[in-house]
Amino acid sequence: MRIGELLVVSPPGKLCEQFIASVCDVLEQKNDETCYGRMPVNDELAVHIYGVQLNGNIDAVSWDLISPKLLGYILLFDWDDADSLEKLSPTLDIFSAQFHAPLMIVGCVKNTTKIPMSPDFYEVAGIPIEKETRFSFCTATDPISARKIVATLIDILLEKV
Amino acid sequence: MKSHEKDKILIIDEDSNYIGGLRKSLNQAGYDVLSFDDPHKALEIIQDIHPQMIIADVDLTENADYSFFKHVQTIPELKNIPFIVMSNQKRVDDRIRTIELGVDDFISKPFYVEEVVARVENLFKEIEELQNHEEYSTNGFGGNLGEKNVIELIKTLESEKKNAIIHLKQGQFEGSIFVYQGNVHDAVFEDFEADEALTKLIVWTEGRYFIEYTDFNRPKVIVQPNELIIEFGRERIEQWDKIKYNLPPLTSALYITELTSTKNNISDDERKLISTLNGSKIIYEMVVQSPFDDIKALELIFKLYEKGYLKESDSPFSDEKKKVASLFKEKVNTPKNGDTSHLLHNLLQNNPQEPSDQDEDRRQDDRRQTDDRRKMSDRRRTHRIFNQKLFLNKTELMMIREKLL
Repeated sequence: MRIGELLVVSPPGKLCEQFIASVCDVLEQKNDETCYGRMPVNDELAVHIYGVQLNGNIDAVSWDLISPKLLGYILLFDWDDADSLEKLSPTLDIFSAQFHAPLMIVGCVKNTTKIPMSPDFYEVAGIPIEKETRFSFCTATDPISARKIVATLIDILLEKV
Repeated sequence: MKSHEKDKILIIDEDSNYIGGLRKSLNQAGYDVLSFDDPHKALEIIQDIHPQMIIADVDLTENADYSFFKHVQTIPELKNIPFIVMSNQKRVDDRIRTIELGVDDFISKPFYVEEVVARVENLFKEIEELQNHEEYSTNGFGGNLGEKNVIELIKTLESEKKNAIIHLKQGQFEGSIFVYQGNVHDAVFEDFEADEALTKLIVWTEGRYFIEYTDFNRPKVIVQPNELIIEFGRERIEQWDKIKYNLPPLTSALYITELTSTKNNISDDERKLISTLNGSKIIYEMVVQSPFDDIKALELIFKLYEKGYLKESDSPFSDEKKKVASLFKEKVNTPKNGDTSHLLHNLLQNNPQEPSDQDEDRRQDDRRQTDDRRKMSDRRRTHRIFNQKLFLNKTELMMIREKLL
């Protein structure tokens, strides 16, 4: 079985599990701080998505999840909640300093058809801040929207291979 | 001396405008370059030249027959030579089709010469790593030291009673431990040998390992039995981890702050350590290069760090993303109903890695459109930052993508 892993990080709340549930259809496991979903692609290939909630304490994260199978990271924050964003800033720094994998920074909104930005600044797949880091919007409860985020991350990888 | 110094690169492009600059830069990078503007002529003598890499302009349109590439593939001694395609074709489908044919890399025209040189360097490096890996894979196994540390590896080999070399790699550092019939026999690390090298390597709990089952011909210079080595190692790791816990990751860089000029409360040993530092340095590098025992060196670093004489400097990879972080912080301070789009716009406009106006003037070329420059620049940056081998291959990634959309 070939497995690709994704790490989703969000501030405390429902974002993480909503996002993973949208991508994987079903959450396989969850507890107070972490959750896990599995998206089978076929009999030989699957994507495992680990969700971690941050509560301002980066040491609480099980960074051991980072493994050679990791495809990339997705940082979710609530676009309308400034605190949500503040909590993720240190994580951004950690990713920057430690890991070399694509990063999707995702502003979660209730409705992606009403994105609070000028369309000049983003493309369908996200804003190319740089090739291995992209910013995009998403509705965590919407499977199409959430899956688009993962697809964008896969696109970054496809650019590489 | 660079290992590629004698590598021969063959460039084929009917447009000689591209060849000149590329040839010059690759020459400057130490490569021997031969160029042709006629693929047929190149084919006539390619077997005599026997290049180590081919860079060729290829027509990617649907009717293209890739005849040059296919012909090269029919020559047994050339079919494994890395092949880079240059093309004006921008469509991703076409690129994928080209890579599916077995081409190693793809470069869109117009390009920056520096980008091509960087890609050539990277491709040679990747091939070398792959060859090393394949060589190892046939006769051993590897993994992450975070999952299995040096002590556990020694114990594994002890139980197997085999001859093997434990290859260790942590950032820029590499070392080896030689195990004979399950017993630690010798070790090398940087300029250190035997017990000294083993003392340094045994605390490694980060980085990669590879166990190569092989016979070797070296005298036994480490006389302690495994049992003592393991016990000693455990104690060292415990001490090491205690100090490490209070420091940034060992791969972080620290620099000497201006406070050291006052040198109020610096001990002689701390002063001695500072004297070995010059500019910012990775913590583990400081340890290795210090005149002290590793634990002692790490302790001194911690004390200096605690007193504010050493401070963490920016990671070489963090600049771009720190911009994003600061952008987000700006957003936090922006009234909710305010228009934040200008912040992202600013980020894109002020990206320091984009070519400056002056650079653009200098690189002015009628063929090169501004958008293309930006894309090229982005791709070059991507190539630099992505240095980790992907676990999944392109087909698998495409299958995932298909499933998602």
